[in-house]
Order: sequence, then structure tokens, then C-alpha cells
Amino acid sequence: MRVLLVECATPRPLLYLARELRKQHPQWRLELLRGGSAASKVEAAAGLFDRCWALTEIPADREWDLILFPLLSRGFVQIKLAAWRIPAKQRKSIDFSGRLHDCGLRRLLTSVLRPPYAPGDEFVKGEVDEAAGQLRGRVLLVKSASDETVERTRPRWTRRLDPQAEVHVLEYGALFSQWRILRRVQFSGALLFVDGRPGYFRLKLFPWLLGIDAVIAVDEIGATFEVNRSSLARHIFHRIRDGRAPVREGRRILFLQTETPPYMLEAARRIRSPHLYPRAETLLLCSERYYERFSKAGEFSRVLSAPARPSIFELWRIRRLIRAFDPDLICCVYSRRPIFRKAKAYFLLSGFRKKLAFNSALDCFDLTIRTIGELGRWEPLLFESHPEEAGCRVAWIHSGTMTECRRALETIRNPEVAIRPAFTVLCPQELEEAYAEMEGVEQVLTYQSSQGFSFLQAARKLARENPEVVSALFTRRRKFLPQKLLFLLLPGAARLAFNRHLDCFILRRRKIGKTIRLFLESTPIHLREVQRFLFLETEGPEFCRQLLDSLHHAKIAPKPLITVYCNESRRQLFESRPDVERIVPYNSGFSLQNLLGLKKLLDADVEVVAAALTGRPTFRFQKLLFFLYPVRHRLAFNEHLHCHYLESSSAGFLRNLRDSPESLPLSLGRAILKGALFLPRFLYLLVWLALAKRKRARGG
Amino acid sequence: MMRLLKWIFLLPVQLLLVLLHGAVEALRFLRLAFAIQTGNVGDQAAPPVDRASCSVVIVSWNGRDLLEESLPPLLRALTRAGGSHEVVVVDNGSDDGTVEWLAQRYPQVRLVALQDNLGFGEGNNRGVRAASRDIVVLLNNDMIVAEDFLRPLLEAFEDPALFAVSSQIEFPPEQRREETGNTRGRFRRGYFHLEHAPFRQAHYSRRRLPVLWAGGGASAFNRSRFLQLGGFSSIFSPCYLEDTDLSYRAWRRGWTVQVAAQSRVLHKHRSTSARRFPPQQLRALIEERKLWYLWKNFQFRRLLPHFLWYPIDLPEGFGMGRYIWSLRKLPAVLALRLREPRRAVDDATLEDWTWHPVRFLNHFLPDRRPNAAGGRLKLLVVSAYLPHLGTHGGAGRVFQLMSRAALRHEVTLICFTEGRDEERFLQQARDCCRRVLGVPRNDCQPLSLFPYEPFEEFNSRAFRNALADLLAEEDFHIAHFEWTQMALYRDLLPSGAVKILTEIEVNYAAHQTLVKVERNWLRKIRGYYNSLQTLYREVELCRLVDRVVCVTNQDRGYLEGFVEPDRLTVINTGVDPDEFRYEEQGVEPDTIVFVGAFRHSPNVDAMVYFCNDIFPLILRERPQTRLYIVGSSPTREILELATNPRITVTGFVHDIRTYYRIAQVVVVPLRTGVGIRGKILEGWAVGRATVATPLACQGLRTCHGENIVIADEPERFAMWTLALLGNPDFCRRLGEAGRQTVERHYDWNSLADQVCSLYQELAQENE
Repeated sequence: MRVLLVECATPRPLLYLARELRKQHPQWRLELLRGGSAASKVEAAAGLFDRCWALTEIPADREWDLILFPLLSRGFVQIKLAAWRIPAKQRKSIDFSGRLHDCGLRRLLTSVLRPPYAPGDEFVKGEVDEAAGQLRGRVLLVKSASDETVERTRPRWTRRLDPQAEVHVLEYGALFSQWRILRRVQFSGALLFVDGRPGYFRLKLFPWLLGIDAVIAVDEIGATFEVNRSSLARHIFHRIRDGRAPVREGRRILFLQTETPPYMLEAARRIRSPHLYPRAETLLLCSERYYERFSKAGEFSRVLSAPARPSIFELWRIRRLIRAFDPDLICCVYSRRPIFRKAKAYFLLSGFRKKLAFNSALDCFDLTIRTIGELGRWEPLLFESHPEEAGCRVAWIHSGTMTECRRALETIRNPEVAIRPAFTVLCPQELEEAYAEMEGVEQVLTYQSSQGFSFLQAARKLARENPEVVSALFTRRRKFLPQKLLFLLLPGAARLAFNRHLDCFILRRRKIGKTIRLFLESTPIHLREVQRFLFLETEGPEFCRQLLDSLHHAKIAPKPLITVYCNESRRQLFESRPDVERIVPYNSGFSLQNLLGLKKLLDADVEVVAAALTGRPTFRFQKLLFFLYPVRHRLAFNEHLHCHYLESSSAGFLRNLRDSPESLPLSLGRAILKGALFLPRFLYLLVWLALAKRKRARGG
Repeated sequence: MMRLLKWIFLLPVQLLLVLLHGAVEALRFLRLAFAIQTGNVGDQAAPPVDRASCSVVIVSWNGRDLLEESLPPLLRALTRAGGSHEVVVVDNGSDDGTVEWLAQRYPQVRLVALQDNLGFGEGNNRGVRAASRDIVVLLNNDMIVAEDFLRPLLEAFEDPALFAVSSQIEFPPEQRREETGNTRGRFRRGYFHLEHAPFRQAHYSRRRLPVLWAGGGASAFNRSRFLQLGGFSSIFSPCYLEDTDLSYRAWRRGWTVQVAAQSRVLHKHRSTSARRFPPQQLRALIEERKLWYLWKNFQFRRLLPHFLWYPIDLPEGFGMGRYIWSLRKLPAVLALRLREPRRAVDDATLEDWTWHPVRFLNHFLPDRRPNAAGGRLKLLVVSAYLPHLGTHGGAGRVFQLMSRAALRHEVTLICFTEGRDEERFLQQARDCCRRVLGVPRNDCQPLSLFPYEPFEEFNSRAFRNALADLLAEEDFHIAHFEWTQMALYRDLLPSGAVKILTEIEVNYAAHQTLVKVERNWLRKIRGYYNSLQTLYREVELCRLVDRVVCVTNQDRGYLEGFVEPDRLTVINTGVDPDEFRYEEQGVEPDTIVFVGAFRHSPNVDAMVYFCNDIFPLILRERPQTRLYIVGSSPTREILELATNPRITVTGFVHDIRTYYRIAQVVVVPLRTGVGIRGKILEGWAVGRATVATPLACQGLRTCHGENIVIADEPERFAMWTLALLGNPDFCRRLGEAGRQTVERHYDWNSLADQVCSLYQELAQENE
């Protein structure tokens, strides 16, 4: 009895059913109508089927006694319909237990969307426990993973090899000569390791270079799959989505010191946790400064120190020692502090296949392209309970008056801000005593106010202290500029900034915009407390007079002292006012005198700038100056002399001030068009005038 | 970013909508073209409407409690209105015993009991079909009517074009007034925003004004037209927007929808619908109906920006899913769109009418005129500056003539104001005018794309709105535009009103005088272009008014040939001889005075020219001579002249007569500008000798050597000034002659007579 089995199921159940049929009906001549899977090719070659047909090979006059549609799995439309058209006496389908069912066209078509049979227990057992598809004949075993991986997964991948299979092992090394030898050998299949680690790329290409069709891949946990387009795509997708399975196989771990001892020691403790590397041997490469501490702690198997600036011989020695240790993987701590940069760079650039990283929360993860984002995902935990060390080191940069600084340090000492802070203070020499008496101050680094070099030296010393927190005062006074710059440049896990009201802010890079806005707007100034105003003349004299009067309103500034920036010709209008403290005049046109006046204006010690913005297209420079003048508070008056305190949330007010309802692009477009239309319009008007004059002459 | 993603996601949907609407538009065009060829075009003639009685239709669903509250006041109102009105209650399948209760309690009410809830629209359609009167008043079951709500509605049907009239809707005092009945819409960023606007004074003075839609909850409809339109469309079932759609369909046929402010009802808003839908669903329900309304009715070209913008601006609570779900009725919407007839009113016009009722009035009542009580005409003065005394001559002239005309006619003034300093002058105008409206000048809008638009800075939306509101409230016999640029607003006036324009200065001629004195050839070309552009605009505006008043014959000559001569009239500028009294005493020897407001650039040019080229020649001969430069808003150049110790720049002074009195000679060395020179007249009136350039004397009755000295070149000007300074008798003679000229020809009273005669003449012609 000639039976044709149609490959309308995935290879594993198909082959499982084929074997079942062989058992139940040994008298049948079983032939396969092949779709495209490599495994079916292998089985066909191994003698499971009497013959294997491709669709194009079937002669038109050939008739089978029975055509079998196994499982009627979802899809397989083309092959199902093609098989239906092949002449046959009977057509039946098979379920997972090997029973035959009548199969009509309707059933065949509905199976495209809805498979009729569910897998039975026997099939599942057979599929899981008994290796379904095995490679037979001559098989190439490509060892494209570490020996450890190969050995660990051996029990699983050996199930995919027929016990009688002739296995040729291909290992890394002399690949070209190996290829020259192996290309003459005919392999029926290949077993390839894809453990998700970089490397062995050329080795992994071998099965295809040798033209082997049936390739079975083994991953890092020993799971196998047949390599074809869809399975490979699926494998890559899962790799991207899930990453590599954690395989704890490292025995020797090289630690680089990229953080302060508490972090490193905690990391060493954590890496020995049961789910990581409980029996790992660790080598720490640390700074000379911390050598003793790490040695005494006993968390690392060995500690190796490196000077800050090693000589070439030192480097050679360190390299030799590391090679002797032969580490399996490298590990470091990334807490986002800008310290130990060289070690971190070495960590990233080193050629280790496996890299482990701890983030600031001391979460451990394999460092891959997928997980590299984890490094920056956590905010530093410096203000929470520290793993080992009680307090945190705070670098305080003197950048205000002594009273302000004293209050700021008190704020930092608040347990809600920092736990038992130890201050290292950078201050002028004359303030050394004052700071030394303060609570929590461990060290005072001083500089001479008149010597810039002295300041640089002190700053360098402070930087070497590796403070965890850097803190300074920003009062918006134009003083202590180098100190403020140092605040921004100094390495530190966190920066605490104080504003003029001594509100404390943590400056975070990822939320810098929000923080700065808070920093600037947290406590809007009470204008009643402000006295020095700059008034820019942006309207006519009468309006300006009324505006200055309205500044005296009890809700704005009862006693303002006003600096006026006005045209020289209108100077006398303001001079007579008692509230005008100073007048900075300008003349029309560009002149040196005006530039000097502008310089004077910029040097004026004012706290608020005020101007009228009524939307008229006049005094444009003054209006621009209103927005650019370096002052924190801006008061704008509209045409009704309503006063607006300008801040980011009141930007809508400016939109209403515009003299034209058009948007800026529209206004620009209109201006360009006007320029372009000048000549045509001029010509048109000339023609029009000529005609009108002619008509006028006739009419006259 | 999310908006952009939404837009990209919905782009295929939007393209599909564009294609479908385009196809429907093409089919509609073919259908209408075919209908024209076969003569199947035109509306059925409207049968006469019986305004004595009406049918009141109320649709109710489980609203027995609401009916218990609303029916008694309704029946009282109908009884009070008189006539044989009927009340039809359509019960939409209620299960709260409404039918039995009505039959028992109000047997006089006709009941249409439906088995199922067919929705608000279909319920009303059934009710209207069951009604027997020509006028049908549709009321919500939660509307409490005022006792006299019916009369204004029925009276409105005297207008044959009326389709529906809505009542003013009020809310209980503790609730926000979500509806008013004054409905309008604005198409902005591709979406038609519907709103209920508050009532304005115009609604009460006109009794009825147009609205976008008459709400189905408190409006009276012409029943035959209602049925002709097929009633409320079923696609809006179960509720909302069906009344908006119906009114729109009426508008596009040329029928009007109005609101009667005197008819008032009290609404307990959404009492019924709120029972059936949760608020979120209700909002989405309204939004999708708005879309169907747009897709069904609006012109294709207006829908294009809608399709472009809408996915970006999806309303709150109406996400992409709801939007795509709203496409389910697209086939029905497009089928209805295909069936719509040719539109009589386009969308933009309709929007404009509801926002600016004056345009609606101008369209339907172009010849409306007020009643002239006792021969007093209603005048509207539209002025570019606030008419007042004391700052500049133009404003003074308008004030002098307006205040005298106000003694004989009712004058309403609307003008631009500049800053708060002008408010003190407003009282002067308020004293003589019936009503004064001042609009701050700060939102000028571009007129066109061409370079240099002379009147652009006076093209203000705020002013246009203020004038439109004023004209919606009341009618005028005559609108008098002072200054050329104000004729920009003549389109708001009905064709029945007379429009007069005063050319205080012929602007293009003033530009040409500037071109003549300009030496830089690039600026000369630019100036010439500006003068041509000004001429073009000026002539354009002058041609659109009934009469153009020029202040001198010279000005009239400039305009002749461009404007028909019979539409040009000359009325001079004058001076008040009682205010500027002749005084021989008080003259300070060797004192020269110039008076002029320095916002007017010819005055600046004149003084710079005089001080640089003429005054040094005078000082050479008579070093003791003093020059007083008097006038408001001195510019930087003028203030710099005061560096010469013999020159005094006074700035604004409250009483310029003080300086005229001390002047031995008044100088007017103008080189640019046109129009009449009030300063010469004032100098004459006070009796002071005047030296002027020929340009300054244009249009005045001057005679060299008799009442004035005319000198052109700087040397001659200086020579004549010196001659006068050295000869007090000659000065006195010239002053006396000047005073006589003023008394004879330039008295404001005689000029005001001319203006009033002009008003009378034009009003009679217009009758």
C-alpha cells in the first residue's frame, strides 16, 4: 500500500507521527511529500521514509492508495491544497495518537485557521523525553562555545545525536586548514553552539561554508532548535528581548576598583551570594591608597594595588599578574560618580567575554549592549543608609557670606538631607578658624583670596578627597565665580545647591531643567522687599510717567529706587522724579557713547527690571534688552498698566503682547513677499496712474 | 510628540476621508448640473403662515416628574397668549406611567405614545407630523417657560424668510449658564467650534438677530419647511446636534434662523440625557455628532483643513478609538451630503453673520433707516483721532464742526484713542455727543501683501468689532468718516446710510511734497512709490463714499479726475474768533512764534528748516530776537534746537493764545504737507503779522502785503521777517487785515452751517 505523508505539520510532530505509523503499519510503503524543513530532509536521508518527494517532482500520472495529512496544523495552505489535487484513492488525517480520520476539503480548509487536534500526553512525553529529531550519519560538532558550556549542556545535546552517528569535532584554531580538510567530507548534519556570547564568529559560519543543510543549534542552557530562517529569527528576537540566560560558570573574577571601599566590599560580598558566584575566586586591582583597607577587609581573595601613575614596568607587572590569575570575567561598580575614570574605561575596553557590573544600587547584571542602560538607571543612594560607612563626605565650597554658609551647613546636617556628614571645607584663609569650629567639619582647605594659583591648588586637594557630595551657595550675586565653577566641575555623586533663600536643591543631570526651574522659582521674591529697579523706556513720556507712578503701588514696590535707561532728549522728564536714583541715557544711532552707557547699565546693581510692553512696534532694542538683561525678576506692564511678573508660566502673556495676531513665520513670509512685490507693484501703479491721468485728461 | 504620532497614525484615515468627500463632491456637482439642465432647480414657494396659533411639541422619556413641573407654566403661557394653541406630548416609550398620568391629569394635551424610545430627533419628527398648526414650538420636557415667551416667537414669523426662531435660555441662578440661545460657531484650525454667546444690547434693540442654529429644546419652527427638510436627521439619533444640522440645512436654502431675546425659558439642563448616559460617554457622543455634522454639511474646501488638523487636536475624552468608531456612520453621512441641494449661503458668510449680525442686517435689510425725530438726523462720526481742542489742528476741526452739528442733530462718535492721556479729552466729546465710544489703537492688522500700506495702522479688528456692534444696535442716517483711513470701515454701513469722507489732508499730495524736498535718490524713488500707493488707496476709498469733503480748493484739485467732481465738496477749516480775540497789547518786541503739533512731520521739517537756514540770518541783523517754538510732542530734533539760547521750545502748553499775544511775528515756514493751516488763521484771529511760505498759504484767502507776507527763499523769508520786526506799524496793519479775513470767511459757525446743509442735502437725496 503506497501511502503519501504530506508535510503539513512542524517537523517534530511530523517525524513523531511517521515513526508511529512505521510501528503501527510496518507493511506500508511510506513516502513523504516534503515542504521545506531541514529535519525532514535528514529523516528522509536516514531511511524513515521510503521516498521523499518534492512538489515539483511528483509525476502527473502517479496515484497513491492513501494520502495522509498529519495533524492538520494551522497554515500550510499551499502544500495542503497541492496534496489535495494529487490523485489518490483515500485521503485521511492523523491525530497525535496516530488514529486516522476522514478528511474532506472543508476540513482541510478550516484547518488553515483552526487545527482540529490537540497534542496528547504521549506525544508530549515522547517529544520532551525522547529526542525527536536526531542527527544521524556523519555529524559535525562545532564547538563554538567555551568548553564549560559544551560540557555543561552535553546531556541535552547528545540526545539530538544518534548513538551510531559519526561525530567530527571542530574546535577553534587553524580554521582555514580545517576547512580545507573538511570540505571534502560529506556531512549529513551539524551541531552548533550559540550561547549568546561574542566570539567564535568564523567557527559558527562553518556549517554553511561546508554546505550542510541540517543544522541544529544548542543554546547556553542546552535547548536545541533546527536552524532555518524562521527559527533563527525567533532565536534572535528572544535574545534581544530576554538576553542571555544567566550562566554562573565564572570561577575567577577580576575586580577593578571603581568606587570607594564600602561599595567595593559590598559588591564583593554580593557576588558571592548563592545565585551568583558562591565559590568564585576574586582578585581586586585597587588604588595604592586603599590597599591596606581592602587587604584587611578580607572580602577579596587577592588584592593587587596600582599606583595612580604607573610606569611602564608597573603596567607590565600588573598585566603579568592578571594573566597569571587568568580571570574568567571582569567586574566593577558603576555608581555614576565621575571618579576612577581610567579604571572604568579599562573595564569597558577590555576584551573579556563576560563583564559584570554593579550599579549604584549594587544590582549586578551582565554588561551587554542591551543592559548597558542599567548603569544609569538608578539614582545614587548616598543619602540613604549606607552599606557600611555611617556618614557621607561633603565638600563645602565657601561661596557666600559666613552667616549664609553657616546656615547652609546646618541644613546639610539635617538628617533628612545627609546622615552624619563629614565636611571638607574649601574657604579663604581668613575663614579657616571660623569653619574649623563648626560641627562636623573634618578638614579645612584654604586658599589666599588674592592668589588664583593658591585656589587651584586647594581645589585640586579637594578633588582628591573624592567627596560624595559637593555643595555650594548660589546667591545670584556676581561673586565667587571660580568657586561656583568648581562646584560644577568637582567630581561627586551628588551636588547640593543652595539658593539665596537657602533652599536646598539636589542638582540631577537627568532632571537638570526641572531642578534649575525649581531653583530659580521656588520662592518668588516679594517685590515689596526689593528697592532697586531698572526701568527701560519703551513707551511715550506720559505713559512712562504713569508707569513709574504705578510702581509705587503697595502691592508692587512702595519705595522703589529706580535706574532709568532713556533717550537723552527725555532725560529731563525723569530727572525731576524723587524716586529716580540714576539715569543712563542713550542717543539715537550707534555710537561709542551708547555702548559705554550699555556697559554702565549692565553694571547697575538692580534686582528687578521693569518696562512697558504694549505691543507697539517701537523701542525694539529696549524691549529686547528687557528680556536679555541679566536679572532674575522682570515686571512687564501692559497697555492698561496692569503689572505682570514674568516667569516661564506667564509666557502666554507675551503672546498677547505681540502687535500682530500673525505668527512669526507668517509675519516673516509677509515681509519677504512685500520685498518681492515691490517692483511689480510699482510698475502696476505707474501704469494705473498713466491710465488714470489719461482718463482724467479726457474727462477734463 | 504624541500628537504627531496620532497624526501619522490617522493619516490614512484622513486621506480616505478626503478621497471620499472629494468623490461625493464631484458626484454632487454632476447631480446639480444635471438638475440645472433639466430645470429641476428651485425651492418650493413658502405657503403663508398662520401666526395666530401654534402647536407646542414636547418629547419625553421617563420624564413625568419634569412634565409635572413644566406643563403648568406652559399651559398658563398659552392661555395668556390667546389663540387656539395645542400641546402635543410625544412619549418615547416611558415606563414611569407618563401616558396614564397625562391622560388623567391633562386631558387637553394631545398624546402621541410610542412603543419604544426613538430618540429625541425622531420623537420630535413624529410630534411635528402630528401637529396641526403652521408654527411648531419644540420644547424640552425640562424647559420652564416664561409667561410671555410665545408672543415674540410668533411675531418673528412676519419675516417670510424665517425658518426658525429660538428663545433666550436661562438657567437656575445656582447653575452655570451653559446655553443662552444665541448660538454661533467659528471655524478655527480645521474645527468648527460651536458656542452659546451672551446676549448683547443689539439683541434687545433689534428684537431678533441671526443665530447659527435654533435649539430643538426651545424654538419655534415653520412646520411646512420643517417637513420639507425632512425633520431632524436620523443619523444623530438618539440626541444632540440634530437641531444644529437642521438649522444649517435651512440656512443653506436661504432661510433664516434667528433668536428672539424677549422670549425666555428656564432650562434644567440635560435632565433627561444625563439619566441615560454617563458624562464621559455624553461628551464622546456630542463630539462624534459634531464630526458628522461637519462631514455632512460643510464645504469641501473648508473640510480640507479640518482633515489636516483634526487628528492633532483630538478633543479631550475623544481618543483615536472613538474617532475611528465614529467613521461607522460615514456612508450614511456621505449619502445625505450627496442629496443636499445647492447652497444659498456659504459657510464663511454664515459664520460671519452669526458673529457680526450687522452684516446679516446689511444683507437682508440694506435700506434700513432710523426715524428722524423732529428733523434731527442721526449722525455717526467715525474718527481716526479723538476730536478735541488743544492738541492738534485736525482733531480741533472735527471737534468744532461736530460740536456745532450736535446742536441740531443726534451725534454718535466712535474713534480711536491713544493712551490714557487722551481720556481727559473724552469729556469734551461726551458733553456734546449722544454717545461716545473710544477704541484704543493697538491691534493694527495687515491690509495686503504690498509694500507700504498707508492706512494699515488704522485697520483694527477691535475697532471693526466695536463699530459692528454699534451698527447692530442702531441705525444712522449719515456716517461721517473723518480722515481718509476711516473709510476702511465703510463696508459695515448699510447701503441705505449716507457716507461722507473728510479728507483732512490729501495724503498722496503730502507725500509728493516730501518727495520734492528729498535729495537722496533712493529715498526719492521710495517716496514716489509711497505716494503712488497712497494715491491708489486714497482714490479707492474716496470712490466708495457718497461725498468727499476737502478742506481747500487746492485739495479738491488734487482729487479731481480721480473722483467724480460732483462728489467733491470744499469746507474750509476755521477758527473761533471769540476764543482767539484780537489784542493789540502784550506784544513783546523782537519775538517770533511758531505753533504746531510735532507729531505732524511737516511742522518738524519747517522748524528745522527755519532755525538752520533763516533764523541765523535774522539774528545777524537783530541779535536780540527770540524764537518760541510752541507745540506738543516735540521730537529730538526740535528739542536740540533749544541749544541756541535765543530759541525756546515750550512743548505742550495749555493755552497757546499766551504765545500768540506776545508774538510780534508769527512764522509759518512750511515746505511739505497739504491742507489748511490753522496756525495762520489763529495768528490772524489774534491780529498778529504772519510770514509764511507759498505752500503754507495754499487754500487760504491771502494777499501778499495786505493780510500776510509770503516768502519762499530763506533770504527773502528772513528779509521780510526782519522788515516786520523793525516796523511795528506794518505789523499792526497786517494783523488787522488778517483779523478781518478771519471774521469774514473762517468763522466756525458759518462752516458748521455748510456742514449741516450738506447733511440735510444728502439725507434728502437719500430719501
